[in-house]
Amino acid sequence: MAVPAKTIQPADLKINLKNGGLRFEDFRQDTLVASVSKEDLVEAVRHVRDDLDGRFITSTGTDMRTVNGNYRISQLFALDAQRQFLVLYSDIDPQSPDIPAITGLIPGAAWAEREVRDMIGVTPTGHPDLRRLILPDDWPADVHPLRRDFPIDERPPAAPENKVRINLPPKDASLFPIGPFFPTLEEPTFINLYVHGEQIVGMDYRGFYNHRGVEKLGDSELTYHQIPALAERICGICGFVHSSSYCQTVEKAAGITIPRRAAYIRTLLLELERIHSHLLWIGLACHFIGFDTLFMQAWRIREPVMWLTEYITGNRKTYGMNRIGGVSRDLPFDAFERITPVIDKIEAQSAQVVDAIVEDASLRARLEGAGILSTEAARSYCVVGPTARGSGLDIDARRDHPSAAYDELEFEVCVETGCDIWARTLVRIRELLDAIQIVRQVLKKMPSGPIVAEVDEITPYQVGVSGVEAPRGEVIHYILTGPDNRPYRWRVRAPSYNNLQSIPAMLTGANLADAPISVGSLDPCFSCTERIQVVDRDSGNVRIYRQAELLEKFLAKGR
Amino acid sequence: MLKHTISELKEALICLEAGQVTLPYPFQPHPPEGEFRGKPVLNSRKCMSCGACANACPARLISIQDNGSIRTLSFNLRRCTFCGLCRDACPQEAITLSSQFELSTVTPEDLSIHAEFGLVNCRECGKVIGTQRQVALVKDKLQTCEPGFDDTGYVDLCNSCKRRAFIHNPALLMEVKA
Repeated sequence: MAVPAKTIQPADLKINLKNGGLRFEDFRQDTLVASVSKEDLVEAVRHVRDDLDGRFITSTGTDMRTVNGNYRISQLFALDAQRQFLVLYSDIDPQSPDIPAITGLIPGAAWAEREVRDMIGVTPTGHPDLRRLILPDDWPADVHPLRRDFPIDERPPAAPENKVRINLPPKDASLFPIGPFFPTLEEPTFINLYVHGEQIVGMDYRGFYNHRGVEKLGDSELTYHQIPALAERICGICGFVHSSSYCQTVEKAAGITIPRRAAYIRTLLLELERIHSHLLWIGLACHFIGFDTLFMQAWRIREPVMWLTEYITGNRKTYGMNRIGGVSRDLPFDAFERITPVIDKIEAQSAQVVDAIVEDASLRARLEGAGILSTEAARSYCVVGPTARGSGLDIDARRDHPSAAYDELEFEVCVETGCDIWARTLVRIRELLDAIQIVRQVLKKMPSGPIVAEVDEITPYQVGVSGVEAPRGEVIHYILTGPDNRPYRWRVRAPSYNNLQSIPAMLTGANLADAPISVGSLDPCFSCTERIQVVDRDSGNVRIYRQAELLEKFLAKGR
Repeated sequence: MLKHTISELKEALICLEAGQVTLPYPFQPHPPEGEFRGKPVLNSRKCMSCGACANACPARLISIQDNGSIRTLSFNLRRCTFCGLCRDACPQEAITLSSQFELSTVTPEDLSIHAEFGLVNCRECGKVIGTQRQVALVKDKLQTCEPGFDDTGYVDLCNSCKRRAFIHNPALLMEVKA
C-alpha cells in the first residue's frame, strides 16, 4: 500500500496575507483546524488548493452567536496524499453576514455556498448563482432554519413569491424538463435540459425536494447515541456508511479508540454493502439502456447478500449495528462458515455477469464515448468515488483516509482513464470483485475481543471530520461537539452532492438519448416517475410523454 | 458478429442456469433469518416503567403518562424504525424485537402497546415516587445489601422527604461524620 506523504504540519499552513493570514488553531489526530479572516479567505483557499494540493470537500455554516457572537463558515479540504483533513474556518460578524465566494476558484463549491446562504444566511459575495438551493419554493426569504434561534417545530408562513425560477434556455434552444421525478431512477430531481434538436446545449437543475432537515434534528432534538439510527436512514442503499462515518466522526472528536473487532465488523458490513450496491447499479445501468435480462440477473445475484446481512445484523438494510465506540452486536458464532460459501457463489456468478458485460459489443458501443467527464472537469467539480476514478482521479477514502480496519487490509484502488460511462462501469465491476476479496481478508483476520468501547462524557466544541468510501464515493461527516449530550453542528456531505454538480459538464454537447444513462452512471441517490413534460418554448404547447413512450425513445438508440 | 452472438449466448446461459428463483410468498411463509429486528414486544411482567426506553427512542414513539394512581407506558409502533435502542436501554430486559415483520393492518390498535402500573405515593407528602414494581425492586435489591445498608425504611419516601428524614436522624448523621 502507498506510503502517505509527509504530514502537513501547522507551520506549512503559514502564509503571509494582508489581514492576518492563516492562524493554526487545533490539531487532533488527522484533522488540522485553522482560522482565516474573511478578507483573506480567497487567497488562503488558493494556497490550500495549489500549494498543499487540497481537495475541496464542502462548506458548512454554524451559528456560533451564543458561543462567540459570530457565524462560523468552515471550508473542509481533504489532503489526500498526507491522509489529513483541513478545516479552514472564518468567523463572520452577524452585522455584515457575507463572505467572499470561492466558487470562482473551485466550481465544485457552488452548491455548498448556496446551501450556507439558505441555512445560515451568510451570503457568498461574487457567487455566480445566488438562487435558493435547499429550501422549498414557498419558504420566506429571511428565515434561515439552521440558525440556533429557529425552533425545530416552527412552521413559517408560506411565501410563494420566492419560487425558484428555472433559468430560461438561450434564445434558439428549447427547454426539455426531466422531472421533477427522474424517469428511470424514480426519485425526485428536476433537470431542465436546453436542446437544439437532439443535442443538449446546457441545463439548469433544481433538486432537494426530499430535504427533511436531519442536521437540524441532530443538533436540537436527538442525542449523540440516537443519531446513528437517523444517519443510517439518510440513504436506503448505503446507509451503513453514513452511520459509520457519523460514529467515527464523534469518536475522533471525543478521542475514543474502538476495539479492533468492532473495526473489522464495520469493514465487513461496509464491503457487503458495496457488493450489493454495485450489483444493484449494474442491474439499473442495464435497465436504463434497455438490457432488462441482465438487470434481473444482477439483482438475483445480489439477493443472497441481503439475506446474509439479515442474518448478521437482523435486517437486510439499515443494519442498526453502529454505536459510538463500536458495534452493538457480535458476529454469530457460525459466521465464517455461513458467509464464505455465499460470497464464493456471488463471486462465481458476478464473474459470469462481468464476462457477459465486458464482451457485449452492443453494450460497449452504447456506453463508450457517452457521458464524458474530463479529468479536469472531474477535479474542478470535486467529484468522488467511481465517477472520479472513471475520469482518472486516483482517490479512494479507504486508502487516503483509512478508517475502520482498512489500514490493515490489502486492496486495489481501481482507476480507469476513459472518462466515459464505460470507464465508470469498469471501475464498479473491478470494485465489486475486489470487495469480495476484502470480505475474505476481513473474515480471515477477524480479531477476537470486545466489540464496544466505554464512552465517557464528550467534551464540547471539538471538531471531528471523517470520511468513509461509500459505493457512490466518499461520504463526509463533520461534527462540532456541543453541550447537552448532542452535537452543536452535524454536517453530512453525501457523494452525490458533488457528483450531481458535474452533470452540466457531462451533458453539454451530448445527445438527448444519452441523458438518462449519463445521470444514471453517477449512481445518484435521489425518488418516482409518472410522466415528462416537453414544452415547446416558441408555441408554449405542452406535450406529455408517458413513461413508456419516453423509455421507447431512450431505448431506440440502444438498438 | 460472431463475438456478439457468443456474448448473447453467454447471457442466455446465465438465465437458464438460474432457473426460477422467486418464491410463492405470501402463500408460502418466509421466516426471517437469525436474530431479526422485527416488531418490539414488551414483557409487562418484567417492565417497571422506568422510562429508559422512552429516553432512548430516536423516533419518540414511547410515552409515559401518570393519571391518578395509574402510570401508562405506551408504544405507538406505527412510527417504529426497529433500531433496537429501546431493547438496549432496558435494564430489565423487558423489551425484545420479535421476528414479526408483516405488520400491515386495518386496525391501528394492533400497532400499539399499553401497559399500566400502579403508582406509589410518598408516605409523608403524598407525591408520586414511582410505580409499585419500582419500589418493590428497590426493596429486593436492598435486602441483598450488607447489613447497615439494607434499611428499607426510607424507600417509600420522596427525595425531599428522604432528605428531611435523614437530617433528623442523629444515628445516620453520626455515620456520615465517621
